[in-house]
Amino acid sequence: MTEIHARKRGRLLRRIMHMPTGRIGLALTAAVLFVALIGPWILPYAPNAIDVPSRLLPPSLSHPLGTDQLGRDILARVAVGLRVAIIISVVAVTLALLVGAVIGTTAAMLGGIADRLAAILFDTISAFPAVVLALAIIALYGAKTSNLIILVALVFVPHFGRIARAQTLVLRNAPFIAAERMLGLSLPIIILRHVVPNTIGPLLIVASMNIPVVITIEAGLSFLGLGVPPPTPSLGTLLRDGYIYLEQSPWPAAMSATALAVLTLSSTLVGEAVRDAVDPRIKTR
Amino acid sequence: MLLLFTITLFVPGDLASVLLGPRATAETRAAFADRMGLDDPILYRLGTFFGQLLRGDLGMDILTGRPIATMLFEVLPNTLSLVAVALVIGFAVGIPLGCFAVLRAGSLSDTALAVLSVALISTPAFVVAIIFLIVFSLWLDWLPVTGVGKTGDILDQARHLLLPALTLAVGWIGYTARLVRASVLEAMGEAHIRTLRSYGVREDRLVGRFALKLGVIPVIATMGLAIPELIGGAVFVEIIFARPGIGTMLFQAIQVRNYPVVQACVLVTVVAAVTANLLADMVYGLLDPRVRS
Repeated sequence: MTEIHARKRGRLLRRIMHMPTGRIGLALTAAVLFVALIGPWILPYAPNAIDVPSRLLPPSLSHPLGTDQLGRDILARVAVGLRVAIIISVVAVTLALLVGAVIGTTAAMLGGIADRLAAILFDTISAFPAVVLALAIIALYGAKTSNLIILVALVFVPHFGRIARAQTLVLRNAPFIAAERMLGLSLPIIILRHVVPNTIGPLLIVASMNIPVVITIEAGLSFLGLGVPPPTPSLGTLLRDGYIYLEQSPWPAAMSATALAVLTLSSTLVGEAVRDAVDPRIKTR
Repeated sequence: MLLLFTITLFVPGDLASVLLGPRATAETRAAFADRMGLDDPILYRLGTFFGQLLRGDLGMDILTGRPIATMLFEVLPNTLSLVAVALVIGFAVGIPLGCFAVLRAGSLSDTALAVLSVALISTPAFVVAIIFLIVFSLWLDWLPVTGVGKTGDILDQARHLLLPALTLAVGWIGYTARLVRASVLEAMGEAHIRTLRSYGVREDRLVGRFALKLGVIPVIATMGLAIPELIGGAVFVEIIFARPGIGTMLFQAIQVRNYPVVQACVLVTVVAAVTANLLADMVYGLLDPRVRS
């Protein structure tokens, strides 16, 4: 079983490498992951180490991306910020995937009113522009990292729920599911053993494509001061600091803007390459 | 809308004490709760909320006491013109780029354009805004950065609109270019294009004149999806460029926890998004007779 999976994964990677956009995306992602994972270990500066005399320095050999308004090393802060962004987006997307899959699959299997309610719920949530909904909810419940994850996940539940529901509706009347029902298997077992393995593929693709979107929302909320609370460096907060001190030095803003752009670009390229490699017919955007 | 109402119900803590701050006395709290109808039964409040909504009454700003509907009408034109100009810029730049990619399909410049459009799409609007700020106003000092310009002076207003609209348009340019490329390529396989080609019609004319007619249709159809995203982006763009609009109004209301205003702003954006979707669907049906059946 694991061997088949390994071989399958190898093929996927090779297919991604065949596309020029996939190669660029993988290379950029590798660079981003390197900075995020290894950076905090090998960099000489702590992300929150204040050194006021050397504030707002332009990039140099000792500070490759310069320093911010308190003399903190921007590269060290970017490294931690990348980490934060990656963790938050992966956790939020996983949460959205799980909740969406459970609601979508169960509703489709049960049919009737439950199915209708699920469809209405998904439609209602996705009627809101994602950023505006996240803003409104965060405003009410306060800016905390845990809130941020839960609420961003909520915004994305319909994406997964809809697909899980559509996939399950196709499967529901398949002969092998009907046969299992007749054999007397309970609904949870049918769903877990036989429906989920058949619906998980498209869900994972949508997940990989949603990661950059979640990164954008997290950074956006942090930029407005409504996301990850300080002192944790988030790319959004870095950008906000840079924006505030733009008149004195454009470097902090330029550097954190670049870091954020590279992160979203690399994850978008990889997400799309995964989609094209697995199933070119699925187009979500 | 129901969701909107329920969200405010589950706010942690007593709404009155949150809004009035810790120094409010018990009497002011009670008076406030009475005025806002906070102690009424939930179903009754739901009824009044929808009733007022139908009459176009969005409630009062709890800080200034002005009707929210008037405040919205003051700033709405700013946001609408921003989104509209961004859409037009997106079309004007994106469609030629997409056609160019079709003519060079498979070449290096096609790949470069593909990566460029992904970059344009994926870069968040607020990142673009800051980069533009640095380049165009700090570095080159070409365009004004903040505000909407003097009222009555259309030229000045246009100058103030250009940079924010361009910022907002960046993602839409990439998106349009990509979509046009894909759908025009598909249209190039149609029978009538093949016939025209065999008549000796030049390739660039085939793309720009005939295949584009089919290729533009999906772009219009996705406008319905793009407008909510543009509105979301407009929130950030307005805040960064300090333009009065729905976005700035929403943000300021959030900072002081002015819930009725937050509610009204979110409501307006949702209505705008749903309307845009509906319009795009209708236009799509008009343009492409094939979907009408």
